Amino acid sequence: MKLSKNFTNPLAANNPVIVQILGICSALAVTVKLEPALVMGLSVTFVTAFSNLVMSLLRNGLPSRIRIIVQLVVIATLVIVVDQFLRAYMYDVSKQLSVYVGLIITNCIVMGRVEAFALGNKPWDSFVDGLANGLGYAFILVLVAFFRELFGSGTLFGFDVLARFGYTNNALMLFPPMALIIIGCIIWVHRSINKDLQEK
Amino acid sequence: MAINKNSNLYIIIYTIVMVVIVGALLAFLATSLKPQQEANVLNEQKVSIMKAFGEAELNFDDVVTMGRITDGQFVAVEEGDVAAIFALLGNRKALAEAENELPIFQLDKDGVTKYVLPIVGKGLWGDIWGYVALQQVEGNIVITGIVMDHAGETPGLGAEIATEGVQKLFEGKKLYDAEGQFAVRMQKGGAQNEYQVDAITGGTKTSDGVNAMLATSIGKYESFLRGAEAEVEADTECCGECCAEEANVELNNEEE
Amino acid sequence: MLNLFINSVFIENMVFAYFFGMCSYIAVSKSVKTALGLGAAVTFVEVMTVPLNYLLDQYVLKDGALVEGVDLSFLSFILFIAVIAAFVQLVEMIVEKFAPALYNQLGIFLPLIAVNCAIMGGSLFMQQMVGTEINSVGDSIVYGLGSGIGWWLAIVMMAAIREKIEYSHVPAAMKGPGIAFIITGLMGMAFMIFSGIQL
Repeated sequence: MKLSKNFTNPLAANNPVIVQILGICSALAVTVKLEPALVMGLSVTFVTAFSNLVMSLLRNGLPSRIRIIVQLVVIATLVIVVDQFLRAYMYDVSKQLSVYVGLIITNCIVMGRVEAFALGNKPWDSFVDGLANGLGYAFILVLVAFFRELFGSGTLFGFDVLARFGYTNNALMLFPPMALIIIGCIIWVHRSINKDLQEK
Repeated sequence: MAINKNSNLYIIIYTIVMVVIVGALLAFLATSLKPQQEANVLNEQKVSIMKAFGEAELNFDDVVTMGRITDGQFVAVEEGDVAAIFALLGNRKALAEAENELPIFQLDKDGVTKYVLPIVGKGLWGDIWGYVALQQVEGNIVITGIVMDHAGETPGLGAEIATEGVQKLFEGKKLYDAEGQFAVRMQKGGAQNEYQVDAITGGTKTSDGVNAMLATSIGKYESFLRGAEAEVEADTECCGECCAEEANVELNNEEE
Repeated sequence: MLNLFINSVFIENMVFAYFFGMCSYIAVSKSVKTALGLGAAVTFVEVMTVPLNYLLDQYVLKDGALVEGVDLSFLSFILFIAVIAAFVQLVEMIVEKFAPALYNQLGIFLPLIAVNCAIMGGSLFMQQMVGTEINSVGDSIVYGLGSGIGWWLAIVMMAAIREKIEYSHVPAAMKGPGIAFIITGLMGMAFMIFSGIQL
């Protein structure tokens, strides 16, 4: 029961991106198209899930004075694993993601979940928590990318959708500022539904 | 016995064990994936070159002859030297600075010879690069295909140079005008003649960058290209009878 | 070099063009005073770590830099973040020891900076620009300074706007981060005009 709540909570009501405002840094620039957004989302999910798992396993033997640097080393190692695999097996996508893969290291969601959850919970719970937070992040990324690709390029995953109805692409959607405005609107909708999150 | 987790000895041992594990893991991963990564880079270069030739379905290794232009002459490369050419293509700075021994790719198909040259330049924000395919047509040199890519041009504007739509516009454009001047360029306000291509609206700086890239990169091959051009002209001159016939036809036309 | 500086402050602004450092940007932009402090700390750390990482990249990580035929560039993420984290820690200790007054003002921000994407992003972009825009330690200092100041500028402007917006009637659900994102988007559009500058 608790496990499933741990899993569903970060997906909607307590989404790390739109409620806790974490991890926006490295993410929005990859939302011009759906494909890189999806890969980025899954990469972050992988890193949060496994860094939570590893840190939870290490938590009892961890010297508190070097806690932060050990976390960074574990996270950076996982990110390098992702980066090397992308370069080897998904070369095109890895070119589009460029430096943003490296920036998963400084993604606050990863550090935040390790600090707040993994250091005080059992490995399996931590893994599920990391997985769910990563997926919550991926969901927002894909949502933003959906709107930007649909209205900016008239395509979805590279297939023509709007173009065949004579739609003229709105290049403004491809520029960075529109990603922020879309996120702002998502927050607006989300907080209109979940009234308890609204600021006084 | 309880271990003091904050003693210096414990921390030092912990750190050393951690560094060794992480270092070994990453070194193993990087070495085992490296061949695949390098193959990707190589494959991408080959695919781009075949796309420029307009023969994307053919296999690079089967049909293309690689060479260098040394002092205006085509010199085919040895088997063991192939890697050096691809390394140069991957290093845009070295490629931009190269003055002699320039890489070139030749494809003979259906009695037609096409050449692909690498091009590098600067757009508005960063590097732009690509490959251009050239062919002899009636004594002039014509672009038969071009592929371009960019590091960070403005999406929707300058970045359009990487799209097929823009690249198609270059097909069939002549390099040199009647006076023999390098004339192919992206023209603001729309193409007006057989040397010009529509510039990208809102992407003027990138279009200028493309023009500069074509002029400098192709310019380095000029002596070779001119040589090839002159050869064809020489061929037509040799064939005295044909020329005479042609002249007769022209005369007849004038009379009519 | 001036080009590089203007480019990194205005045109390729860390916040408006790349969304770097958004977490602390949204969280700490509620008053101008704290924004100034955090901006100063980010700029300082960026000026120091970008050149350090440049040297690391040139003399240790690059293919064949340390030992002929050994390419260590796959370690760059881990070493960059280690340099940044170690440097931040060092600064924190030095400031605490020798300037306690400054520590009280800046201290709370320093741990935040280690995970500020603007810092890591600065180093990663620097690595990509080696060989084109950045060719010396001097260039890397200028780039670090420029991107730090760009971030500083952005967060101070944002904080000033948010102080004023306190008095406006924003829809309840938009209050806080929602409106902050939209304002940032609009500011980003305004910053896009700088892309027309011919350097």
